[in-house]
Amino acid sequence: MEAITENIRREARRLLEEEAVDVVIGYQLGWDGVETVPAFVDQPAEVDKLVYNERCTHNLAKYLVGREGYLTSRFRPSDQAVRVALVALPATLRAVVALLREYQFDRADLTVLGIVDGTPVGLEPDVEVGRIEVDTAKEEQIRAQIDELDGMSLAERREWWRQQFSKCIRCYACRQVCPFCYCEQCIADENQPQWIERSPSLWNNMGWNLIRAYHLTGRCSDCGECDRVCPVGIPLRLINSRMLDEVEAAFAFVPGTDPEAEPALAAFQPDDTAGFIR
Amino acid sequence: MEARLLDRKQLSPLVDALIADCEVIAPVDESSYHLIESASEMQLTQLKPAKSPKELVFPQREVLLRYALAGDDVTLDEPPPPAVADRVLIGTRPCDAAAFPVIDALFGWDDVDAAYFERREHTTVVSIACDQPCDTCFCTSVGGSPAGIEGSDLLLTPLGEGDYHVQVISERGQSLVDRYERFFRASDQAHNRERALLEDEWRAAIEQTVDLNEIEMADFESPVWETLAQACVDCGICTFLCPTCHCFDIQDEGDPNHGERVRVWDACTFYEYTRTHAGQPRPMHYRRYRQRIMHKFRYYPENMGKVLCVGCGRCIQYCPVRIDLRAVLEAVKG
Amino acid sequence: MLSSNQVETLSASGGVDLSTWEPRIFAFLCNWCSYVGADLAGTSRLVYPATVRIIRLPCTGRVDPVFILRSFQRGADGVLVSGCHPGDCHYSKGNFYARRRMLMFRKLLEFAGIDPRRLQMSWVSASEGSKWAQVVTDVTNEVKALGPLRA
Repeated sequence: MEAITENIRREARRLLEEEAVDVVIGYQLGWDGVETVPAFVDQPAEVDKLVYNERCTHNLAKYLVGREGYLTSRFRPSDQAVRVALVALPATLRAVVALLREYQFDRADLTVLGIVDGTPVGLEPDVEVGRIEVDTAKEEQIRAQIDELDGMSLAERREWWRQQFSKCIRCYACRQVCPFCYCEQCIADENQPQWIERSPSLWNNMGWNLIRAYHLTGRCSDCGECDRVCPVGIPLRLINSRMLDEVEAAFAFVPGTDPEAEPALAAFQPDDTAGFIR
Repeated sequence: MEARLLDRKQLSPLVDALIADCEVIAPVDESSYHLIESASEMQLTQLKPAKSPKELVFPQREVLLRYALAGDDVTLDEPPPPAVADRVLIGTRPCDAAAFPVIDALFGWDDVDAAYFERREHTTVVSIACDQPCDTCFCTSVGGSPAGIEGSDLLLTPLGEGDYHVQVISERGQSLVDRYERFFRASDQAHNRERALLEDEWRAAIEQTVDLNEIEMADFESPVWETLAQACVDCGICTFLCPTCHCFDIQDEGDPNHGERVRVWDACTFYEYTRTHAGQPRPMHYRRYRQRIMHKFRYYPENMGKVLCVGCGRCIQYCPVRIDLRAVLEAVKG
Repeated sequence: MLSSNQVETLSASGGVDLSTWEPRIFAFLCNWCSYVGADLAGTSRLVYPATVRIIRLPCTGRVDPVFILRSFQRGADGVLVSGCHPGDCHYSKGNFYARRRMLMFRKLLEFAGIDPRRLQMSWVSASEGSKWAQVVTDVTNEVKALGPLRA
């Protein structure tokens, strides 16, 4: 961990001193000295606040895109492009690949300081600043929870999700931390016409959570942040993990692992099969 | 109104007795307060539930009126203030209780919210003092205390040898004690003194404080605001979990033939907040964050005489990017 | 009870008499093929269940699954998406995208505990009036067997 922190600081210092980038997006310690928070360093003198430890889970690709994204901001004239260096976890690397495939920015706009874990990813970091282990315990836990849900009857599963979604307070933290929720007007905020009402009734909440899960299908980088940030503990990761499995099974596609592959739901084969169609 | 003592082992029997007579709401898990059917459902750990009890008086969804169309006829049905059953809210921390008088000022200002006060008047608040603060608590920085009485009808303070010290703060609290007299004993000077000493100890245990006295807010145009909110993702967690945040939106939900006009919680951090046909006065998120801080620590105190914060620390604990309000307040001092 | 999270929306249908209940099927039809095919069923005076409420779209590729969720919320017991046969899409490719989308959305519905057979799809061309009648009959029977969604 300390080695990764040193590498990040070294690279950030170099990139800022050489004026190769305008800002380095990484992690720093919070006010309590324990939790970590996203950091935006634009001065070489400040690079020593950058850290990496196992509490750094935020998917920093979120800050690249959207209305105020560093690479896509609506509030900056187009001739004042910002060059960004990004500390990228494995899920962030996958997110960058998928965002590139969605034409959100150019590869040349971004310097990737990659932290890799040996799993497939569709881009070479500009600098590899660290290697970490896959959290197999976590993956097994998710697998076990999905298997438990699969073992239920349809009605049991419906009741289980109804209890979960009835907790939702529509804070949209799941959406706001996600790199793929960059729509300038989310469908849930659309009111001409209104597809999903704002108030937190069971059906409104189901509508919100299911449509977000669907809009992420074939795109999600499996960072788990939506699950971590939910203040009422809805296990959102289970749905997104499940849909990643479904996409892989149906279309042999895993988002972010192959820069050449077309995103599964933005593509088709003339001979796709779907046995349920009359 | 004289203090009492309640043996800690009597708390569950007291709660079960209350349940037999009225609704009882208590923390049940990490997420929320809930109606309980038995004292065994109460979860009085040190941590507060993520959701504050404000939804008991300010529901997240409230119907303002119903409409129905039949041909050219329109019927509007404005529901009267709800008939609220008497209920006891037990297990609030002093910070959550202190929030009620803070937002009473808003809901009673100008256009009085009758439904809000109907709920308020039927709620007896029995708080339990905090003998161990979370590392995100900062009630003492905003005029509160881990054993503060603001907003509570009764305050139970855990004493050393297995008793709660019971402060009777209001008439509502007194009637509860009178009605369930069999559970309580008289307190005495020694116990009252012990309570006061414990309060001092617990106040001192909150190490990370911010001195808000004479806070001179940074100038509105100061560049400091742009850096404070850099990591903020503009979700609604801080607002929705905050016991004092009260902004709302009014939405019509229905179809052309019948529907409801509802009031729902809103958050000043959302881009859609104050987005009007004329535009959006706070398109960049640092402006929305500045608005949030200014409202809570300058505008509301100027208008209502109270800081719109009780130092519960949920905004810090649950923020997806751990923006620390204490650090923000330090940074914006002029 | 803290009711803010348990409020039902307007079109609740508790207490349905199953012996007389007929399912409501919302059907999203593409303008160029299925809508014309459905019209042909009408002009041919074909008899088929009156359970379907048709919404005309330019193409099945226009169907965002939020329409399907909205349909369920507004009282549909089943949703049918019908378009041109693969290769015949008026816009060349819309139905190809729709095919992948509906496949994935049915998986999502199933994981969430909603029977995926409540979302059906068909290819009905402009000349297939009798196929349309048959599709509606079969979908109605299948959804009827599943019962009301709200129950």
